[in-house]
Amino acid sequence: MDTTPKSVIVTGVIGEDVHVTGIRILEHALRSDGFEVHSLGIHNSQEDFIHKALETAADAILVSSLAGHASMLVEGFRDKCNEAGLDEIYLSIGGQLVIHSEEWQATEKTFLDMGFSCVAPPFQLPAAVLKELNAVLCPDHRETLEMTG
Amino acid sequence: MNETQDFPISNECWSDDYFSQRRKEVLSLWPTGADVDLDEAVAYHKSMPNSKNAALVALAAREAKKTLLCPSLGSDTIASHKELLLHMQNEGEADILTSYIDSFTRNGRFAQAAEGLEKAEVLGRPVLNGFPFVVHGVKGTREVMDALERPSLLFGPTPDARLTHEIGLAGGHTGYSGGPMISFWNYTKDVPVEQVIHNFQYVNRLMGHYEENGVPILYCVSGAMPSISPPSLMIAPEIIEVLIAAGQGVKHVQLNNWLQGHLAQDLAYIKTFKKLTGEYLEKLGYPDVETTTYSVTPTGRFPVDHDQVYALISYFTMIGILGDVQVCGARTIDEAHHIPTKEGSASSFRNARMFLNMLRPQGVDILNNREVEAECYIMEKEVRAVLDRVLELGGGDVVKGTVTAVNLGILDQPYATSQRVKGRVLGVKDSSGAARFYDPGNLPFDREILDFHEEKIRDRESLLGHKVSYDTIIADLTAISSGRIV
Repeated sequence: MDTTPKSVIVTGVIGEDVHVTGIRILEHALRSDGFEVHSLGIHNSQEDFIHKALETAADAILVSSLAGHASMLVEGFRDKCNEAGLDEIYLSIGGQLVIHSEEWQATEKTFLDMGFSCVAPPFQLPAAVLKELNAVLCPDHRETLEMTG
Repeated sequence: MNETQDFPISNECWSDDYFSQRRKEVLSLWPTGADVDLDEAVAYHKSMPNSKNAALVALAAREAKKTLLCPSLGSDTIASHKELLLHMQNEGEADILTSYIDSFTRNGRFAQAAEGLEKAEVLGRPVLNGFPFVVHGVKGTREVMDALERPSLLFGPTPDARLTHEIGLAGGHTGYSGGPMISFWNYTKDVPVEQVIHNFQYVNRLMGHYEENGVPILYCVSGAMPSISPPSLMIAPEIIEVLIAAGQGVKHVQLNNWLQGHLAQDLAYIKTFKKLTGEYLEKLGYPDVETTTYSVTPTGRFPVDHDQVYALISYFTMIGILGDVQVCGARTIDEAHHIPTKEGSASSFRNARMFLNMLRPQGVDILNNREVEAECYIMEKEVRAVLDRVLELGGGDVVKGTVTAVNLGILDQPYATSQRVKGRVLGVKDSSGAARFYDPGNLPFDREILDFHEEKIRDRESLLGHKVSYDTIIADLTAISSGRIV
């Protein structure tokens, strides 16, 4: 079996948010699927993500936020990535991003306009995330490890 | 918190000198620490009737084959906390009360707790999510306790409960629910497990001091918070918490059984936990520790519909009664909407009380049922495998072994907040709704245990018609809030 990771991903929860279940499942799913995952856990700033991405030469940053304050917490994130030389990095966000109820398209547009590569809707399941990341990050990778217990 | 390790990693009982040096440091963390006088506190406890001592009340329930009810609640100001506990005592008929510690105090942010309390007093409504013990000090805490007729516990995991216990116990509380392992897994990000254990050895030594002076203190271990977790994932760290406490002279331990809703597995949890705790206490040289049992509904998502929640409160109360526990906790009807109100809590407890009054006197015993026995068999093997490996790694010392075992993932949890946890284990439900290992990580299990879980998962897969996946796990995590066990 090829043990070289398909690509390197930094994961974490941004802000004073302690919700960790979703990102923990996703981390487990990504590792089982052959990605190299560097987990930051809870309570992270934009700088924490960027430092870890530079340190690990990451291909993607996955930001989780469940407390509804995401738009304030990620303002300027893409610019900071660019300043740090991470121009090419795939930047994705998911969770419960807003506290008010609005059409998903409106929420999605807000975050795409802020420079995110992908915005995952609430209750997005791991299979969909894996499909997206495999397509974007490793289009040439033919072998997908079988996901079993 | 101090990152450089300058303290002993061992289960030896602390010397009087070492304890009094640490006490000086802890009592100087906030001005109210200066008001703690242990001799005076012991005398204060001795002036209270036995009916206000949680350890004695739990033991009496064990003798009388009774089940008591205990909520987990707390408010910030003295007036609102007193009002809440009196309401639960008088209208909710709770037998043991609790003072939930607010999260600023739990994280050692006493200045922010003081600020929140001031705001609550000005606004005339609660601002903090619990009782800020350290800010209120001994005098303020006693003002609440003196108004009550029933015992009260400090409540809530925290990596550093030292000053909170100095004040809470001197303030008349007679027990605590929480522990080093649950606090490490679920309430820290980057604190070493040995640091959390050392802080709890302080708390346990303080409890031991009260015991030596004739004041029983009830210590309710909690192990780990479950999320579709096979019960050995909670029992092993809970027994570790018991052994650490016993090492510092704790004499009254309550075993917290986290019910997840699968009747046979939940009853097997209660039975196995009690049996193995007795065995390991004996084996490690602590035969004089008294144990009682407690059942609690886990903190996962609950339905929003009150009718469904009433059914769940009744159902989980039933499991506690069938498990012959001395104390039963219950969730509240309104907590899916907001912080539980005193009315919502009292209504929930009256519902549990009615159920209890119907079933308890019947003395139904199904603990030797075939399904329960089958669960006990595998659970016992799992807990022994983990604990024996922990003790082996520590050369017989449970604290040394725990530190190494956490680093190796021999002790592990799914969904931990701590970055120092391996996090390789993961649970999924089988076709009957019991929690099984989807991934056993580095747990030291033999082929028989692994085969058992794999077979149960294959059954689920043939029922589903597809492989169990991460999406299945997510559906399982929200099954109860969606109205079914699986």
